[in-house]
Amino acid sequence: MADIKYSISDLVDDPSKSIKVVILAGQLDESNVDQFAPKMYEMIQAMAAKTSVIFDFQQLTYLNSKSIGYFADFYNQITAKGGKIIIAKAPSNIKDILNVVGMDQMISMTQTMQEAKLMA
Amino acid sequence: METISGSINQNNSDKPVEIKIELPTNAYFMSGIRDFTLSLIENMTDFSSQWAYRFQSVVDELANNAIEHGSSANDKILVTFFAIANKEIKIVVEDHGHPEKPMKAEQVMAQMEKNKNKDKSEFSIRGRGLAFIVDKWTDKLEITDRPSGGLRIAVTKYLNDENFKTSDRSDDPKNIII
Repeated sequence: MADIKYSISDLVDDPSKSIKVVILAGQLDESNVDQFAPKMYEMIQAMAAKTSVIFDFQQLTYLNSKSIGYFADFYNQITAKGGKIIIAKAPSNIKDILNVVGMDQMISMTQTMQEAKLMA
Repeated sequence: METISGSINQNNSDKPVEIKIELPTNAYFMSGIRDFTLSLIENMTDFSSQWAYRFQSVVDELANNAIEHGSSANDKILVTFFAIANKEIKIVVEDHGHPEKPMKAEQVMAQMEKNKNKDKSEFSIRGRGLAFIVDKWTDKLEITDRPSGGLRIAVTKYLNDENFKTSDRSDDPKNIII
C-alpha cells in the first residue's frame, strides 16, 4: 500500500484572509485515496465561508487519475463556499499529469508558497 | 497467499524484450508495479525522466481499470511489457472480466470517447485515466474482448516514427537502447 502523510494547518500570516494549508507527502493512489478524501471533505465542511486552501505538493511523488478526480471535487466544494484552491510547489511529474487531464484550467498552481498566499 | 509472479524473455537486440507480471487484484501492489515500470523505463530505454513518469502513470491507470472494472476479488490480471529496440514499447493489460458487470471492448471505447468530449465540469471522480492519461501519452490504443472473457488493452509508443514529429500528442521520448 502506498504511503501518504498529510498535515492541515491554519495560515496566520495575514489576519485579513482565512487560509488553510494542507501539506502532502508520499503517493496518492488507488490504495489510499478513498481513505484520504473523507479527511479533506471533513475539513472543507468545517471551514468558514470564503476560506481558501493551499495544497503544498512539494513532497508528493505520485498522483493517479482518481485522486485528481477528488481534487476536482474539492475545487467544486471550496469554491461553492466562496474560497479558492491553490496547488503550490508541485514537482514536474505531478504538474505534467495535472496538465494532461486539464486541471491546470481549473485549479491555480504556483511555484512557491509565497505566490500561493498572495493568490489565496 | 497472494503472490506476484513474472517472467523475462530477453533475446538478442533485434528481438523484443518481453516481461510478464501477474498481479493479484488488489491495489496494495500498485506502488510496486509503478516502481518496476519506472525502473524498467529508466534502465532499458533512453526515455527522459518525464516519459518514465508518464509510462508509470499509463501502467498504473490500465492496471487499476483492470482491477476495478474487469476483475473479481481474489482474481489476477496480467501485465506484459514488450520493448523492441529503436521501434516501440508496448504494454498489454489483460483481465478476466467482472463477474457481475462484465464490459465489452465496444462499451469501454464508447465510454472513453464520451469522456474525451466532456466538459471538465461534467466529470465525476472517475473517467480521466483512459480518456486523457492513457490516450494522450500513447500512440496506439487497442481494446479487444478476450475469447475467454474479459478485456485486453494494449498501448504502444512508437519511436523514430516520422509521424511522431507532427503528432500533437507529445515530444519524442528518444530511442530505446536495449
